[in-house]
Amino acid sequence: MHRSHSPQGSGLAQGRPLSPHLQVYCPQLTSILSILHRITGVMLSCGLLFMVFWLYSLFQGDVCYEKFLFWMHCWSVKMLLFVWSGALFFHLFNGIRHLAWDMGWGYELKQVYTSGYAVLVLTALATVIFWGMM
Amino acid sequence: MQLSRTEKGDSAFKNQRVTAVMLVFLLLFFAWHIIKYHNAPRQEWVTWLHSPAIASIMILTMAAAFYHSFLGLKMVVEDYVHCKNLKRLSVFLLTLIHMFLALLCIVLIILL
Repeated sequence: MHRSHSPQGSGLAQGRPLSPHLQVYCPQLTSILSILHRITGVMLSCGLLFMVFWLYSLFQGDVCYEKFLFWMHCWSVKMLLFVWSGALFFHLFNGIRHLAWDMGWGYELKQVYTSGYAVLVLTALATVIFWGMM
Repeated sequence: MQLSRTEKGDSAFKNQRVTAVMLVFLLLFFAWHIIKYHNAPRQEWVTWLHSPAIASIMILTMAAAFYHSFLGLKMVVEDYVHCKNLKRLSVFLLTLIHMFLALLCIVLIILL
């Protein structure tokens, strides 16, 4: 294998192949859920700003809160909130799955897939029920 | 040096999980309340947050959420940002933003 002669640095700088090789990697439920956990986590972090706006408008008074509610009922923001709630439920259920792994439960391949599908079903159910009850 | 680094990684790992367990319960509580009162007028929310028990729960929620978010984003930055200085800068900015916003939320709840 070709080796560059840069004295030190990351694998990337030395031109070594990084694993997993995403160009030829075949996605599976396990890997998709794993990366989704990160993506939804980042989304939720951004969504925390909603909480800041909400508390801030509550603090500012009636006029400001009306404005906040107006924005919240705008369809594009509602779409965003819908996706965000889905991300929240996914991260919640998959997080519980991760916590179970941390305790040493559910490591068998079959269990990993069963819990993976369960997370997807629960996420869809919880999101629909949440908005249905609103 | 090596030992202290290991300990740091250890506590971040543990804290991420502790805040995760806290958030499971805190967020279910909050989600339930949103379902019930999302159309409530402002005054009703303010009264709700004036209760010391609720205010404490919400402060705990915000603290746990921002800490969990910080640990998660820090992990993402550490995994994907390869340039050492950029990594340090990003983690520093993450710390600053999370501390400020968490504090802002807590102060808002108290002052409400």
